[in-house]
This record gives sequence, C-alpha cells and structure tokens, in this order.
Amino acid sequence: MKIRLIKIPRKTNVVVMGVLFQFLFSNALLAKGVGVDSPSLATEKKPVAQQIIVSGTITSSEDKLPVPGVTVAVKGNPKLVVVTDFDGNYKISLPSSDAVLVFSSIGFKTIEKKVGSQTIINIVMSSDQTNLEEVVVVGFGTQKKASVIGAISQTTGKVLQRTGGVSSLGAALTGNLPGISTLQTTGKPGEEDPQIIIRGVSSWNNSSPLILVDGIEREISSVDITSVETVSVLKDASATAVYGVRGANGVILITTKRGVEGKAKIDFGFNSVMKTASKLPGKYDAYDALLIKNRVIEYELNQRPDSWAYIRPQSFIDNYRNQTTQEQRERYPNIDWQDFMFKDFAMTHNANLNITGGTDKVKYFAAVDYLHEGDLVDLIPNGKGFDSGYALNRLNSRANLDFQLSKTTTLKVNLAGSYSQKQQPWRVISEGYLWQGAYTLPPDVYYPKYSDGAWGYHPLNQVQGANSAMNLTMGGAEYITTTRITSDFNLKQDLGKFIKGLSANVTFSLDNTFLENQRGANNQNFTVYEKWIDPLTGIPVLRNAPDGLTGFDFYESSDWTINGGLMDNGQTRRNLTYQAQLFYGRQFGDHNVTAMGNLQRQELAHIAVLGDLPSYREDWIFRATYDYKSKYFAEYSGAYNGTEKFASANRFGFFNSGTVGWVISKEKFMSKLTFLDNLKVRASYGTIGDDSANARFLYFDQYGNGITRPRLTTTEGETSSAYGWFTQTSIGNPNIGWENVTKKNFGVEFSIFDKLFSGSVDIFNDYRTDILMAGSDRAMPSYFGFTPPRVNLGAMEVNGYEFELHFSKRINNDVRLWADFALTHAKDRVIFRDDPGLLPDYMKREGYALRQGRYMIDQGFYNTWDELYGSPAFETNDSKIPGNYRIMDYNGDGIINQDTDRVRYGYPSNPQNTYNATLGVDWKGFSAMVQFYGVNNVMRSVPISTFSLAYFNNVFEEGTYWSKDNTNADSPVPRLNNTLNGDSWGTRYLYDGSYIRLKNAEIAYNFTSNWVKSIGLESLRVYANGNNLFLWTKTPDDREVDNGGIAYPTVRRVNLGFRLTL
Amino acid sequence: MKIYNKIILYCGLFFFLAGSTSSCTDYLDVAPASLVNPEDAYKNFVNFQGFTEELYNCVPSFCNRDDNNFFNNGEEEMWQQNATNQGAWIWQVDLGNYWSWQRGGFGNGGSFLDQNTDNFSTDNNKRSKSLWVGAWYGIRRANIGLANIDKMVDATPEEKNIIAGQLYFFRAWFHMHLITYWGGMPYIDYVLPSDEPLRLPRLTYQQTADKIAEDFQKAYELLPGNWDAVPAGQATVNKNELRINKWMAIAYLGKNYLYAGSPLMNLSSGGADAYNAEYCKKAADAFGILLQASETGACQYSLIPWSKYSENYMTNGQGGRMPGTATVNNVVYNEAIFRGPNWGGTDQSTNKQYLCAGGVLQDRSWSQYATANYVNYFGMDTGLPINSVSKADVPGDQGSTYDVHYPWKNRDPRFYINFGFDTQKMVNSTAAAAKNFVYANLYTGGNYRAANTGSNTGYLMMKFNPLGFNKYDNAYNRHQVHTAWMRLADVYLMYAESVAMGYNNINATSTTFSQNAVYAINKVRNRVILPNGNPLPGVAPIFLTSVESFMSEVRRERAVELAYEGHRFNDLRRWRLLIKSPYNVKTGISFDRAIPETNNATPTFNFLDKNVPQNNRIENLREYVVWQRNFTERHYWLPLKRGDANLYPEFAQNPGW
Repeated sequence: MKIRLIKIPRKTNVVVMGVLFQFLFSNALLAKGVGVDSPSLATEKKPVAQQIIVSGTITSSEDKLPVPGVTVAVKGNPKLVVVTDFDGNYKISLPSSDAVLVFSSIGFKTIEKKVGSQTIINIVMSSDQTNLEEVVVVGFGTQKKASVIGAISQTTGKVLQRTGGVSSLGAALTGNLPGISTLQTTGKPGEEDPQIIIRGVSSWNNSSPLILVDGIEREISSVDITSVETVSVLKDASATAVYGVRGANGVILITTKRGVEGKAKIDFGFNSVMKTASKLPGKYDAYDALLIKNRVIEYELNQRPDSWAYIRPQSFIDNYRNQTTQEQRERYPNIDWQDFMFKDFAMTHNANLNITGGTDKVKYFAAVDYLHEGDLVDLIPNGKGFDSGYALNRLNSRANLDFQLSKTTTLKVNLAGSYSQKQQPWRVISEGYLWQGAYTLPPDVYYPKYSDGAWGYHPLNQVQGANSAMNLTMGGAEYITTTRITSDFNLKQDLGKFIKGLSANVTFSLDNTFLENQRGANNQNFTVYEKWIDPLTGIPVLRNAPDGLTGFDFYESSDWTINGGLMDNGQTRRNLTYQAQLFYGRQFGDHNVTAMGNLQRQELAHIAVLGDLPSYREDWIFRATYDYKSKYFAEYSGAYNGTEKFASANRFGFFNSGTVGWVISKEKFMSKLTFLDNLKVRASYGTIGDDSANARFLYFDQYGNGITRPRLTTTEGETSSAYGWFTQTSIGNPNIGWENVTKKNFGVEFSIFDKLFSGSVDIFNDYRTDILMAGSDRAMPSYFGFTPPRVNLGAMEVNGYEFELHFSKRINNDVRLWADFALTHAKDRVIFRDDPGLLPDYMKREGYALRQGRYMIDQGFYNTWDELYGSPAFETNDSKIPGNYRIMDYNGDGIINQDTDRVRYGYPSNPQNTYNATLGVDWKGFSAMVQFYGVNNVMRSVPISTFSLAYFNNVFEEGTYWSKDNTNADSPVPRLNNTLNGDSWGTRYLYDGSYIRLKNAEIAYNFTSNWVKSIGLESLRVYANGNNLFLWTKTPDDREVDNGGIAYPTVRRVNLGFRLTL
Repeated sequence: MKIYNKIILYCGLFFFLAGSTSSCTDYLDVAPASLVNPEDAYKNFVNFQGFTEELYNCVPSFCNRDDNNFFNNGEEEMWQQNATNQGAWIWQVDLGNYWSWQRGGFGNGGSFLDQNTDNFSTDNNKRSKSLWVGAWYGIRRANIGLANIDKMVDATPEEKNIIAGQLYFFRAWFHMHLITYWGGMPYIDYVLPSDEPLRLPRLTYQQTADKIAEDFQKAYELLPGNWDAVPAGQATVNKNELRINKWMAIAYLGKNYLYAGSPLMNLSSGGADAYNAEYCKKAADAFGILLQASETGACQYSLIPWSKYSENYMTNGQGGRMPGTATVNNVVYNEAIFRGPNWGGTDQSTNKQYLCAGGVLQDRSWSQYATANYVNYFGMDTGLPINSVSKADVPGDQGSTYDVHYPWKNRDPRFYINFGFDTQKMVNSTAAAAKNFVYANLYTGGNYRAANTGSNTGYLMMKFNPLGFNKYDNAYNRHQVHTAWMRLADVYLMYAESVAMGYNNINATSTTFSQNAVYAINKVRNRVILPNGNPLPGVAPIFLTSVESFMSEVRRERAVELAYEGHRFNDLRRWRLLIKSPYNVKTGISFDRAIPETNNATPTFNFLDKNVPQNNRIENLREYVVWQRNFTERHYWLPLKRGDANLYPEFAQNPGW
C-alpha cells in the first residue's frame, strides 16, 4: 500500500536548508567583498594599446540624480563592459574612437552614443516605464504586455507593500487587483487571510481560485509580502485554460523575487504597526438600558403581565450612575465590555532583510522576514503562571538561486521555509464563549472579576452569559507551530542547436508542511470561584458547590498542565510536483509563433483531508500563440486533465480555449488619431473543467470495516461488541464526470494622450454546467436511506464587467499625479439545482443568486390595533402588539408560515460590485497615496438583538424605537417576554452590507541625498501608512462574512516604517 | 562537446518522463488492496454480524441524546421561559409548530426525531442519532444485508437464520416507528437504486403495518429466544441482552397490530374513528405468546419486583450499568424487552434537566417540571383515582380519601417516586449555600417558584433524579438514565387494551394466553407494594362494569406506570385524545402553607413534619392552566419534510400541513 511520498526525515531537511543558506550568505558576502576592492565595480579588462579613456556621469531625466549600476558597453565587443558607480560615474578604456558606447539599465531606455573625439560623455537617461511593465506573468510562462490578449491583471510587490502593515498577502490584494473581491471575517492573528472570489461565484462546491506560488499550488499564507515580485490574476478562459480543471474559479499567480546581476544589494525594512479593533456594535450602558427596559415593559405589559417582574424604579436605576465605592461598582456593574476586553492598541512588528546580486554564473535573492502580530485582547492577570491570549510569530526565509550551468543551460533553485507559531487559548470549544463580550454581553451582567477574586458568572445563563474575560484569561495557551519547507528545482535547456527557438524545461518541486499543536498550558477544565451579586438584594450567588462527598468548601484547583506538543500527523502535508515542458518560440519576419507543451503530475499526501491514500493528478497542457506584426493575435491553449475522482472512461477531460486580439491603433487608418497611443480589442472563448467536489473516488461504492463498534452492552465500561463492523460508506456513480465552465470574455484596452489616460473594459460571462451535486442536495426522497451519490446536475451563470482607468500626469519634472479607478460587477444566478419538482418557484433556488438568503418580508409597522387585527396571524401563537412589523403573507394563505412565506430577498452575501479608487502624488522625494475600496449590492444578516433574553439588559444602538407618535421609527420596540419567534423581525437584522473603506493611505519620503550616502546607504525610504482607516457602513460591525456567530474583531492599522538599501 | 552531452541527457530525461506517462491511467487508479472488499462483509457469521450490528446504532437514545431531551411530548411536563431562547422542541410542540421536529427548523430543536447539529452517523456519538434519518438508513442497510444473505456460505443454517432474523426485525421496527409519527409510508423491502427516479406511493397506515407484521413474524420464526443458549451467541455470552431475539419480535408484532387497530390509525386508513377489532385480536394473540412464556418461565422476561422498581429506568452507583434489569435475592429479573444502545453517561442530560434550574438545585438555564394535571393521574393507595374529575382542587368522591388540605397523603406509591412536592426535603447537604433550598418551598411565593429559576407548576419531577441529585449533594455516581423502548409492564397493559377492545369484553382472553384484561392490568398494579406491605389494589369494581369505564383505568394506568418514559404522546394520539380537553392543557397548582414561612432569607421551616412532607397541611389549593394547546386535527401527525412531500404527488404531505 502506497501511503507516503518520498520520505525525507525532518532533520535532514533542516540540515540541507542550513547548508544552503550558509552557502548563500557566504556567496553574498563574497560579492560584496569584490565591490569593496574595486570602487568602480567594473569587471575591468586589461587595457589594449592606443587606448582612449572616456568618462562621464549618467543622470536620470526624472530626478536629475545620478544613476548607479548602468552598464556601459562597447558595441560589438562584449568583453568591454563597465558599470557606473554610486555617483553615476564611469570610466572606460576604448581601443579606438570609432567605438559606439551602449548605455543600458533596467528601467531606462537604452542609449547608443558614438565616441568620436569626446573624452567626457555625460548621458541623461530617461525612464522606460513600459519596459518595466512589459512582462506579464501568465500560466506556464511570461508574455509581453503588448501581446497579452487574455484577461489578466497584475500588480507588483511594491504596490502590496503600501498596504499599511497588513501581514496577510491575501488581505493585501484587496483593492489592488480589479476583478477580485475579498471577504474578511476575523482579525485573529494568523487567520486574517480572507476568502478570495474572482469574478463572482459560479459553483456551490468551491469558489476559491487556484493559487500558485512560483508555479506550484501553495497556500497564500506561505509567502510574505516583501518577497513578492508580482501577483497576476488570470480571469478568462484564455488565461486559465492551461490550468484546465483547476482554473475554473480563476488563478492567482504569485512570483517571488529573483536575483539580479551585480553587487550584493542589501535591503532592510522595518514596520511597526499599531492596530486597534475596527467597528463593533454599539451598546448602551446599564443606566440607559434599564430605562429602555422599563419602556419596553410598559409597552408589552398588556400582553405579558409577567414582564412586570423586571420593572425597576428610578431610584434603583440611579445606582448605575455616580458610583463612588467598589462595593457599588460590583453590586451595580456597568461594564463597557468592548473597552474592558480590548487594549487601546496592540503592536505588530515586522522586519525583513533581502540580499540580491550575483554574477553571470550565479544570481541570488535571499530574504528573511520576521513578523510578530500582537493581540488586542486585554487580559486580566490570571496568577497562574502562563499568559493566555493570541499572537503570531512567523519567520520566513527564502533563497532563490539561478545558476547558469552553461550557455544554454540554467538551473533555478528556490528554497523557502516558513516557521510560524500561533498562540491561542487552549482547545477552544466555541468562539462564542470568548467574544460574547465584544458583541452581546450586557453591561450589568456581572462584574468581570470581583475584588475578592471571584469571577463573574450569571446563574441563569452560562452559555449566552459566558464570561469572555474569564475564558480568555483562564483558557490556557496553546501554541500551534506550522513549519513549511518548499523547494523547487527547475532546469532549462536551450535546444536551439537542434531546432532554433526550442527549449526544454524540467521542474521538480517538493513541499512539506508540518503542524505541531497542543503545546503550552492546558487549562481546559479550569474551575474558579464564580459568583454573581443580585443587584436587588445584594446577596451573592455562588456557582461553586461544596464537595459532594466531604461537604468541604469549594477550592480552586490549579490543575493546569504543561503539554509538550504533538505532531499532528494528519496535518502533515507533502506535495510533490514534477513538470516537463517544451517551448518553441520563433519569429519569421512579421510572424511570431510560440508553442508550449507541458506535462505535470502532482502527488499530494494530507491525511486529515485525503485519508491514508495520497491523491494524484495528471495534466497535459499546451499553448500556441501567433501574431502578425504585433497587430493581429491568435492564441489557442488547453489542457488534458486527469483526476482520480472519476471512472477511467471519464477520467481525462479536454478543455481548451481560443483567443483573438487586434491592435487597432497600429492600423494605418488610425494613424491620424495621434492622441491615441494604443487601442486593442480582444475576445476569448473556452471551456474549463472542475472536479472540486469535496470527496474522492466518486465512481465506486466504498466500504469500510472496523470503523467503530456498537456499544451492544449493558455495562458502560465495555465499549464494544465482539463483532467488527462492515459497512458501506458511500455509493459511487460510475458516470460521474467534469463540471464544465464556458467562459466568454470581450475586452478593449486603450491608452490616450501619451498615456495620460489608459484603461480597459472587459465584459464576461461564465456559464457552468454539470455542476457536481452532493447527494444530500439532490431531490431524493428520505426513504432512499443514504446519501445518494454525486451527480453532474447543476448549472449556474455569472455575468459581469470590469472597468479600469488609469491616469498619470507629470506636471513638471518634480511633480507627478496619478490615479487608478477600477470597478468590477459580477452577478451570479443559479440556473438549475435539482429543486423538488412540486416546490413553488419562489421557494426554489433556481433563478436566484447562490448566496441570496430567504427572509420574511416586513411591510412597515402596524400602528393601531385595527391594523394589527387586519394583519395575518402567525402559524404559531405569537402575541402581537402595535408597533411590530407587518409581515407579508407571501403565499396568501392567511397565515404567516415559517417556511412558505420566506422568500429570497435583497442581494446575496457576496458583493456584486466592488470598486476601488487610488489617488497619488509624487513630489521629489515625497509621495502620498490614498486608496478607497468599496462594495455594494450585498446583504449581511447580523442578528444581534436587544434584550435577547428577558433578564439580560443588552441594548444596542438601533436608532429610534416605534411609538404611536413616531411611526417612522428605525426599529420596532424590543420585546422582553414573548413567544415571538424570529419571523416577526422580518428583515430587521438584515443589513445593507455595502461599505466604503479608506483602505490604505500612505505618506513616504525617499532620501537619496548625500547625507544618506554619507552614512553608507544607497537609499532610505521612511513612510507612514495605514490600513482600514475609515469605514462607512450601515452594518453594526466590521466584518464581511458571518461565519456563524461572533469572532475576534477585525482591525485597523497604522504603520510607521522604513526601508533602506545598502 | 560537454554541452551536447548535457542536452542529450536532459532531452532524454524529458522524453523519459513524457514517455512513462503512456501508463497514465494507472497513475490515477486507486490501489485495490487499499480498500475494503465488500464481499468480505457477507462471507461468514462474524463479518455479517458485524455488518448487522450497525443497525443497532441506528436506534436513537431518545432520553439521552442532548443537553435537554424532549421525549415526553404529551401533557406531562412544562417548560420554562428560557426554553424559548433555545428553540426547544417541547415549546414548539406546545405552540403547535410541529415543523420544528425537522433539522433546520427554528432554534436548535432538540427533538430526537431528526438530526440536530451533528450529521447522522452510526458512530458511538449520542448526538449523531435521530429517528427519521436513522430509520431510513437502517432500512437500507437491512435490505442490503437481505440481498446478500446468500453470500453467507461459511455459516450454519442457524447462524444464517439469526442474521436474517435481525435484518427482518430491524426493517420492520424502523418502518413501524416511522409510521407511528408520520403515518403510512412505502414499505421499502429492496435496495433502492440511485440512478432512477423514486416514485413509490405512500401506503395507508394499516397497509404498511401489514407489511411490518410479515417481517416481525419472520423474525419471530428465525430468531432464538435467548442468544446465550445458542452456539452463535457464545462469542458474546452474557452480553446478549440487547441483541434481538424472538420475544422482542413477537412483542413488537403485537404493538404493531395494536397501533394499527387504534382509533387514529384505523381512521386514517379509511376505517371508523374507533378500534379495529381484528387488529386488536391479532395484537392480543401476539402479546399472549410472550405473556404465556413469561408466566410459565419459558422466557427470560419478568416484572422487576417493587424493591428494585427504579432500576427499570435508572441506576446509580452500579458503574453506569444500563437499567432495565434487576437482581433480587440472586434472581435476575429482565423487565426491559427492547432497549437501544446507550452512548456515554447522562451528564448534563436527563440527570439534570428536571430539577430546579438557575442555581436552586442545578446551574442550568432552565428545567422541565411535572404538570399538575399529570400528577393527578396518580391515584390513591386504594387503587381509586383521586376524584372523578382528576382535579387537584376538587375533594375526593367515589370513596377516595383525597383531601385538598393534604393532597399528597395516601397516594399510589408511584406518586412518591415520580414527584417532589412542597416541604419535601430536597438537599442533604448542610452547606451554607444550600441552606435556603433544603426543603422544597413550592408554595406560592416560595423560593422554588421564582420566575426564571423555579417550578411553574408547583411540582418537581424526581423520577430520574431523586433526593441527593443536586449540585450540593452531588450524589451522582455513574448515574445512568436509559428508558426502554418497551418493557414487560407495557406489554401487560397493551395486552389488556387489545384483548378488551378486540373482543369488546373485559373478561375475554386471547387464543394464546388464558388470562383476561383485568388480570393483565392488575398484574402491573399489584406489583406495587404499599408501605404496609400489601400490594396496591387492582382496578376498583366500579370500573369493571363496562369496556369504556375499564379503558379509563387502562389509560390512567399507562400514564402512571409508564410515566415519563416516552409513551404518552403516542398514546394520546392513537386514542385520538391529544387535541381534546382535558388532554390539551397543562396545569399547575398554587397554595399556601397552613403555617406560613416567616422569613425567607433565613428560613425557619415552620412546618410540622420535616420527615413526612405529606403530613403538612396546606390551604387554598387552586389548579390553574399554565398552557393550553390550540391543536387541530392536523396535530395528530407530524408534517413530512418539504423536500420529500414536494417531490411527487403520490408522496403527499400529511393533512393540514
């Protein structure tokens, strides 16, 4: 039985990594040493007779500053090369005055100059922005931007570094890449990666895009932002077809930085981030809450006389204000829980160091990144000897090496390691016990910790009244360590000797992830003194009973234990991928042709997800492109994918796409329109498959044995029968096959007035059929008796458009203004989902957005008893009072039914529109930038209601309450004692989830003047930036998804940092 | 030259890799040895019994499934306001919102009829069980087993019969419990295919019951009476109490017929709103076989003597032993006939859900309390009901000694086992924290009756939690509550009902058992021993004058003997009484003590008798309605799931839903 992949002991891995790193750093130092010895840094060659010495300074046209590192070469004589020094000076000996000097540097336009009689040649180089952006990372390769005809957005690591101290790369993508939207749920350190959706949701199985780091499927959290060179998002069929089945939800390609030839360049950055909790629901204090409660009691007294038990006189309520003694504070607690539980701010630190450089034989990029994410939770000292709370400490390292083995052979080796340690309370059963305070706990529920050391508890409800402060403090500390080691080996051989333009490429990659948990202080079963003081009587109620056997008083046991940690073998993950690629690219006059073929196999072992058997994948991939005069483009690409999930007849699927593009602006008839720099139209059409149903081997019946045994015994200690089990664990469907997505995309790109404005518009449609339908979702009668097999049944569609506009204006040499706008609209609709045939249309899922909820519809208040009596009754005996919502009897049967009067309403929970706007200004060394990000057409249900329990006094800021004089109120009067179920609230807690954020803002200054150099630096950049600084929304808190209840608050960050280059 | 070598090397490598993929389908094939071979499951007795025993884990433990268990959905208990925050099924039943038996209904439900939060599984997790899902699952498994029974080649005929008998039993048992709540169903007796539309029509209740009877009959014929006595049972000797035998099959055959012959089922199958005599006779014959065997000692089942009566449903200090049997003077008495498996202790479950919550006796947010109307079924120690109208605040008549000033005096001994009442000692501990709660202050205004924490009916339910089972005394010692699905006392009472209604004569006997209905009910009554050592008298002569008046005592006896064991709701339904007065109200009592308590904070317990609480006089006894169920005809059946009832017209929703 094959279970493990190549088994490399962990220690060996560490040793190998260590050796490689040492090699790396020593190499880096070596390179630096050379630089010190020869100040010109030139690879000086022996002077030839009759030499002419030419020197000069090279400055940049933009900032008039000298440009170091410019290559000065003699045309036709590759051996005669020098490089400018820090001050942009060069000196070169030439054999004769006929020579032509070629000045070139990345990012600048290459200049050629005949020497003639000159001995000093000063050059002003102008930047070549287009060149920089020229290359776009596409699937299995790169393409020149001008020739890209797929829907691809790309951003750079530099842009992502401006996101204000965000440590999650996924979160940093928000707003920087048109077409993707992110949904953030929690601010918990180490878990801030948002859900990413590219161009809407077109399947209920899986909406996550494929994320590749350096071409291999990896977790986005395994990369730190400073190591990122580019991030590409592939959106249409043309771009994703090469990924076949895995690209159906779009693809995110993350490319890490690589070494650049030259002296070792050391780059050090440091960020110091202050973060504070973002928006949390507003609550009234105890005094106000009790006053409102009295009003509520008066309001419902007629219906519920028993509510009178909760009425409190003003003299009693006054106790919650103007308190002078601790005794008062404890008997009449008035706690601002949000303030109590969270610090004013928490600190996060990040330091990173990059070294890059190399020779023509070896180039290297090495990086180390350390991150400490602090915790917002303000812990009360627990006196136990351990510190509870949350934290994330992460150390990432990376070495990307390029070896030029021969003229035609290159070897790339990427080694990356990540060691992250997350701290959290020990084995939390339910998040609700921890965060109730931040959301729903009433201000007067109890004093969090009484002066006698007893913790507060509420005798009536220890679930909804759980003491968050106590649970966070006493909950112990678990350290979860994730160790990731990823390695890629890529060998590229130019086969031009055989066939011109042909090259071959072999990649081998092995990733290992290890997870250790249950290390730390286990205080899971803590018992502490808990009490509650009845504010009416002042009598304390103790939770802890005396010992049942001896009658002794309760005592706090101190039975927390130190755990040494367990390797979670189920979470150990090994991913082995190998690829072999042939590439052919050649120009025949005006005809440009490329062709690429690739075979890839993947073997993934991950017991917790896949079980004992590793999973396998096999993909055959090809792409052919053609263009004529860079004016007419055509591309055809596809993949032949295999999956273990389907029977051999359906196992391989062929998915392909075709694209055409036309650069109209290059046509002669357009040449009169001089303002037009570029106008390109492109269209793509193709199909992509998907097999992402969360199960394996869908095609045959599976049996299990010995899984479990019944307790067929009357003695409790005996846990098993004598007979081991045999049972069918799943029913297979031999005909199961691929989901198919047909993707259509039409785009226009333009650029006018010398790139003053540029942008693009894309219109797209994804039509997905044969969606894998889990057996439990099928319209099968219960009497089938088991989960039916999966079938290809569903259909969905997403329609949308994207719009991008860039503006860039250089006012003079010192000032540049720029702005980017982008808008994405994606609207999904279920076309078929096997709804039961007799279900009325409005109860079906067909025809509605996938994530659109079903709600009771309210039609304003009934303001009088007459209107109340005229309203339909609830199915259950609910006591209605004027001022409640009139709920729509949607099916008109005269009764409000819990199920049949619930209709799909409003927008789905994923936003249909996302937009962002970035404005920036550069002035000499200064730069400033603000980025706004917003979404709309989205709904969020946040059911946190006032007086959720009759004896709890939690009152949220809900605007005005109904009264007979204010029939246009924001909310009905809350209720205390009622038999109303949630239906009567209609859409009260359904919020318009639209928001606009000041997502990022930055002010930075680049020191390039002499004093920076005088302290030995090449450049220094200091900056202040922030993330999520302001939020405009109608929702009571700042979260984008409700993942069941309540969570660690999301955060807002302000960051001070610097980056220096040596 | 070197470079060319390299080129050749790498090209060779590339083509080797590419070429090796000619076997690409193999690469994605799953290694066969890594999977379980289905044929193994059926080849011999050991494996096939392993396959069959999964069916036992399809039976939910209705009294021990969640933190609160709602298996008494008749008029026997009342919930507290806090139940509404948790969407308790018992509250939703009282509202008439039967929809919430279904998963995804309002709140977390807590009904054992459908899954709650955990998905169904036959693992050893008590929360992952439910009747609706487990029964259909079990039926499919039984059909798979029966379809493969011929693959059992390495087995004796007896072993084959035992496997088949269990499979038939469970197929019938699951169908029977489904139709009990949801009415007639298609009888699934083959493995349903997954690749064609399933359009089986619903049968009537009696049509389904006939099919069920066939399977129970087969099981009766195939199974041994006692596994311990046959070779196949030797692997698990002395651990076979829960395994299905022929007596279980015959008892359920009888129950199936009695239900099919009951008024509700008869009416909904197109018959009259009355008992169906034919089914009742068949029921009496089936029960008679078991009772005859029991009385002659031919089977292992007999009534547990009074001294160990509580071991029918509860054990404590016995290492968590499952109740249902008891040993008295070295004789083992098996009263429980059919019990499902139990998964773990009862912590935070039935052992606490009935005692005063909110810090009085337990730290729980709410409790369930015995209703006064139900307490009133518990008659006098003379065998008479408390009064003709069964009202707490009406003095006794018909010769009963019921006294409204001493309402708890001289009652049926089972009264004292089931209920806690005013001035009863509830706590043994002398701890200061317990001081206020030592005696049940259940009078109006007493601290056992506070709004959110105390009883809202004036009684406490103590059947599962007698004195000491509170947070101060902490007398829990592997406390185990597990009520049987069927026990012998139930069979006696069902026999009494079926033979009386089958022959319309209380003196008739079945063809299989020579005793009549009166004998059967008195057998259960006389087991109860009064403090003076005499047995509790049988049915009083005034109720032996007609079948109708006799039936009122049968109903009362079922209420008393089987109280809180999950039978009442179905009994009221099948008798077609559920929606009728007085069965649709839940009542409580209010009263004052003759010697009022003077200082609540430091109680002096100014009542006369601290040891015999029923001797303390009360005044102003008043019975009031706590809850009235506004039920209509539709509330006799639970609604089917919408996903099922909307598939095709022949699988129609139950009327009114």
